Amino acid sequence: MNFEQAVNILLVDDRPENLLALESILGNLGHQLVMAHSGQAALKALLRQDFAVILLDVQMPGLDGFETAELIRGRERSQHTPIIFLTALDRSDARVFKGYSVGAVDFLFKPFMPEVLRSKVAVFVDLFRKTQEIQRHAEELELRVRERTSELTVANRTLRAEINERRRAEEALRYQLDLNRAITNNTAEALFMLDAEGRTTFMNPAAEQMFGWRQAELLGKVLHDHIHHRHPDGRTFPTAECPLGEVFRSGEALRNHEDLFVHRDGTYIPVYCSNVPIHVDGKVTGAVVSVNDITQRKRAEEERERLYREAQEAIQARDEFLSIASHELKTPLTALQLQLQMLLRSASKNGGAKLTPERLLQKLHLADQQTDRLAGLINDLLDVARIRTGRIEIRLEEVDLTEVVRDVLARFEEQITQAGCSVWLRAEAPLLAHWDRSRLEQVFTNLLSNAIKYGPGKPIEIWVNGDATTAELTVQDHGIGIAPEHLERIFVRFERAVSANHYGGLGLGLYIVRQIVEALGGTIRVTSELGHGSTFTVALPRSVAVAEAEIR
Amino acid sequence: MTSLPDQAASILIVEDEFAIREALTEFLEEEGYLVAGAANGREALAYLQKTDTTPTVILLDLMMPVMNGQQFIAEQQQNPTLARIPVILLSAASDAQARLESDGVAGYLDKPVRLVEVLQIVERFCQPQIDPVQTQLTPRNDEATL
Repeated sequence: MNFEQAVNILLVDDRPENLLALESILGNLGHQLVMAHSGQAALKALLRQDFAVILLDVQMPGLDGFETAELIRGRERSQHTPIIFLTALDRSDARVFKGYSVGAVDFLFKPFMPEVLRSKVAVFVDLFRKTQEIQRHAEELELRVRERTSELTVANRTLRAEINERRRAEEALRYQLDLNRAITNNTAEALFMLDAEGRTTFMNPAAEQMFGWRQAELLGKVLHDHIHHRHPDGRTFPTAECPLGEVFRSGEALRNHEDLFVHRDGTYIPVYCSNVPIHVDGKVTGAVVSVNDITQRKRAEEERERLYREAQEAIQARDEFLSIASHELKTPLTALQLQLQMLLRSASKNGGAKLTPERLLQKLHLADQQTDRLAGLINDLLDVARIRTGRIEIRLEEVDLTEVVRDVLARFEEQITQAGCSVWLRAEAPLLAHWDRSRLEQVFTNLLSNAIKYGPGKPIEIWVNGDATTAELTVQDHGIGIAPEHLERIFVRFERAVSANHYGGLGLGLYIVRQIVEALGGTIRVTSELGHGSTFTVALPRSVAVAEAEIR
Repeated sequence: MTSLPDQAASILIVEDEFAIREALTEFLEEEGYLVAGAANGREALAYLQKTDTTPTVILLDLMMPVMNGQQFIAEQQQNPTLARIPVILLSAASDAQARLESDGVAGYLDKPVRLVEVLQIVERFCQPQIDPVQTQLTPRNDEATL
């Protein structure tokens, strides 16, 4: 195979000439020849080195060849070193046998032929070399195997670590994915992922529910064209004008802007919308669109605004009412007070002598009228307070409506005359039913007062009529009338169709009238023409279903 | 409506409430003033336009039918002669409304009002030119007497 390495050959003979002869035969083979003159010398040489073959003379003084061979074989290191015995004695089987039994490999009989010796030695050298080579190979192989094994072990360990690492990463990833899925699936916010062209790449269940589209239906489609394509007035909202375009162009998010999206069924959904671009390597590759339905919030807002407006209006109405009430209460109070002060003054100055009895009576009468007015106003206020707390009291008794009307008219005679009005009454007498007398008086008084107040100098027509089930009281004036837009308001507390500057009163009369009429199970209606007068008609059932009523 | 003699210190009362107007008229007449009355702003303007006597002071109610106090003042201010007449507001409405900012408003009387207060404010602008009916009592003693 490769270049022949020199091997050691041990030559053992007690005779120098024999050694010389061997050397001369083997010398030119290029081997290292080691000479030993005795068995002991041979053993010593073997301690130092290994030999490919030992040529051992059998007949030697001291240790002979066989004994030496036995010792050689006895040592582990040289156990397998081939030994060729050299003998000149004879060829008897006994010796040969002995030679083999101590481990001889071969025998050569002296005088030996150089060629034979050389070839035998060559065989063993060759064998030794091969053995050595095999051994070297084996060692190399073993080394390589060991190296490989250790490499493999390391690789294996690395691999296992990598596998573990990957497994952990996968678990983390799976956890993250589960988490993301849980979030996107369960958030109330509608989420869309869009590519750079605004096409849908993902939508979550909330988005599906909010807009009535399935993800499968919108995947790859431009989202704007499906949920943002129309203005509230029905005009088309071109994709090019969508704020999302600006987000893609600028790469900057547009967060929480208020917008109006379109449901699949065409209804509009007020939303808060955020468009956040997705950047990959400095490029906008898409966007996340998150949408919150603010219908409820809007509704609540509108409701709040409405309530606020109503509260403001109520406060304003109350303030106006307080101002009017202040005026209405203070006017008779002032008159009363001035009358009393004048009477006191007069009485203290001259013991009342200056006043004629007629004059005194007139003053007292005026004062008395003021107290009546004050009492009436206070009753109205108390009624309103009672109605507010649901405690208007109804006391049922047998009442003749015609009689009530006549009584009140009699009481108002002076006032009617003063106002220059004339009353025309058409009544079916009697019109009996179970009603509340004082409440009926209150109703008619209010209607009559209004007729006088708003139609001075004009005739007032009154009808009282009825059938088996219903009684009707109608009061018609020819006064200023009520504009159609005010007809609804006049029955509302503190409301009146005209300015309080021009006409006194608390603005409570018709409100109280309606509350009483309704408490008695009836209705009140009005027809009016601005500038020509109004007609109020109260219809009352003749059997009132209300017990001692608690109404609101 | 009462007419005013030429030379008298006179007061015009513009008040829709008859009982108030009557009591004030009687009181101020007793105190020696000449008093004219009007039931609303329109009547007052009509009176001012046709009378030869310019009132020394006007007592003016705010809330009145036909023409209210504010409208009256607005009209009054249009006429340079009338604009010079001081106006005392006689108001039952809440303060904010009563404190009407206007050139013509010279004073305020809040309803309900005491006679002595009426006299005090009127005296700031004029003195009675007719002898008071009851000379033994001065207006100053009025309240104490009452």
